[in-house]
Formats: sequence, structure tokens, C-alpha cells
Amino acid sequence: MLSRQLTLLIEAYVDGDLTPDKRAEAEKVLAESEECRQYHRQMVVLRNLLKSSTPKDPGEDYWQESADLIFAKTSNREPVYVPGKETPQPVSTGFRRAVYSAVVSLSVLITALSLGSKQPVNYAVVRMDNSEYLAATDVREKLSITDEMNAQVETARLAGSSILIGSPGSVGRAAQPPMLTLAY
Amino acid sequence: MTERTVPELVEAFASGDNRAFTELVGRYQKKVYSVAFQVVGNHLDADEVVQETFVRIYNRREELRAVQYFTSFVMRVATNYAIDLLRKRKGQDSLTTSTDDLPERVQLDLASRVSTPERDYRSQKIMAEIMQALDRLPPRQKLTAILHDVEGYTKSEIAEMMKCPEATVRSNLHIARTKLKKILEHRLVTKE
Repeated sequence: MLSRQLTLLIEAYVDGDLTPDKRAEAEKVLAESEECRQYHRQMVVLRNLLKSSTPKDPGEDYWQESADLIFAKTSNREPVYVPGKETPQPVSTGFRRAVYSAVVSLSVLITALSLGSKQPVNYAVVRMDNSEYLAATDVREKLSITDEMNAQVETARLAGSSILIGSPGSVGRAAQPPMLTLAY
Repeated sequence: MTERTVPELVEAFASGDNRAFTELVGRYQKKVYSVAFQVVGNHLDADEVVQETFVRIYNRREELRAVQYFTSFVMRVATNYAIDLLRKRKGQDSLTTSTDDLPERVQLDLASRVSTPERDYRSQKIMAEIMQALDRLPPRQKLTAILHDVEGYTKSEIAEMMKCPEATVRSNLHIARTKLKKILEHRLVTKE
């Protein structure tokens, strides 16, 4: 069995850590002892085996995703401010989210108001006492509006906006011509 | 434009230049992953080590001016976290030394590193054996063997990373090798 001193010497030889004197000493020991040569060979094979277990590159996609995650985790932290440096101060994530949320909500609202509903809603324009009234046709019967009241009954679409809020809704009412009084 | 050196990048990052941080992540993430993978033994935990290492470095950027060797600093942060994770996993008794949870691409890459005639099944089996053998070592010995014999760091670099004397590194390495030699004896059969 080899002494600890000898095994350390052989390992240092394998690692290339020895001074010329010590190296010569190690080579002498290796030349003289089969047991030392055996230990030397085993150390070399062990090192090669360990080297072979190095994981290789998992791929560019992984590195990019990994880096993006790191930046995402550090982006909401306060950077060190140095006067004169060009580094832009990042907007806090919370504020950015609030702005994005408001913009998206507004976009949805504007789109909905613009497109409106394709659902037809019947209404009647009723003229009485020099005033004009707008009535939904189903309400018209309940109010007993007749032809004698000079009602012009027609089928048309109400402003799409009224459908968004719920016909008849506040936006719908606001969207009607101002001279008409709604009779919903 | 010339590429900035690591000390220049570190100085810029410590002064608040986040682009320098981006560059440093790009330069070091592979080194950190490689060591972390060896220590924790699986892709998911290695990935966690990579993430946490750079987040911790970002949080400690003001200390960086006092750091002499950035590489050692990065590896120290990474290996400390990897060892903590390893201990936690061992505590949970769920440490895996299997390569099964690796993406297929990584498994193939790992297998291709072992230069044996039968590259598929046999290579992966050998690699799993090596990792199981490393897993049987105490964390500090395991880490020393990985940093020195797998990653090729010098003993003085490892001493700097692990904040310990070089003699401790030599001792840990010797004990680790002795244990590994015993565990992997059947793989070390040699002929003169």
C-alpha cells in the first residue's frame, strides 16, 4: 500500500504542479515501483473520466431564455445612478403594467364603440307638441303611441354605443341627437 | 469598437451600466451552468443556480469594486448556492443523479463527450456512474474535484473561490480522488 506522501507526489505529478526537482523525484519513483505506476495510471484515467462528464452547451435558445429570465428578475430593481452616465433609468414594472393596462382597456373600449353592435333595434320618432320623441318600438305600444300622433315609425339601428353599455344605456342615450328626448 | 475587458465591464456595471451586466451574464453563464450541473446533478437545479447567481451578483454590484478576481467571485456565489441547494435536496432525499431529466439535446451532448466506441447507451451509463460517484462525496470535496478535475481551475483559483487555504484545496482534492478511485475502481482497470 502506497503512503499518503507518495500518492500526493504522484497526484501533483499528474496535475503538473511540481518543481523540476520534485518532478525528477516523482519520475524516479514511477520508474522504480510498479505500484506507483499503477496509481499513476489510475489517476490519469480518473481525471479523463471526470473530464468526460462535463456538460456541453445546451444550445443557444437555452442561453437566451436563461439570460432573459435573469434580466426580467433584475429589471425592477433600482439601478445605481451615476451622473453623466448614459444608462437609461428603467421605468418601474408596476407603473409600466398600469400604463399598459390602461392603454389596452381604452383600445378595447374605442374599438367596441366604433364597431358597435350588429343587432338591429327598432325605434320610432314621434312628433308631438312641436317636440320629437324617440321611442323603442316595443315601448311605443305600451305608451299607446298611434299614427294620429304623427309618429314616423321606421326600423333602423340605434347607435352602436348603446348596445355596448346595454340598450338603452347611458352612452346610447348620450349618443342620440340632442333635440330628441328619449322615451325609453 | 473594441470588446471591453472583464475588469472594465465590472467597473461599468458597478457604476450602474446595465449593458455591462448583460455582457457579463453572456460571458459567465456557461461557466456557471457547467459547474452547477456537476454539483447539483441535474439540468433544472443547474438552471436555478445560474439564475440565482446572477441575481445575487446584481444585488451586490456595489461590492464589486472591492473584488479582485471577478471570475472567482462569480464562481464563489454560484458554488455556495449550488452547495446549499445540494444540501437542501439531499435533505429532501430527492437528489437525482440521473441524466433522464435533461433535454434530449443535452443528453446527446454529454454522451458525445465520452470517447468510447459505443456512444449511446454505454456513454450515458458511464456518465451517470461518474455523477453518482461524485454525489457520494461531501459537498466541499465534490466541489473541489469538479472545479479542479472537471472544469480545470487551478488550486489557487479554487482556494480564492472557496475562501480557504490552498492546502485545504489540496487535501480535499486528495481525499476526493481517493474515494472516487475506490468507487470507480472497475472503470480504472489499466494495463501497462
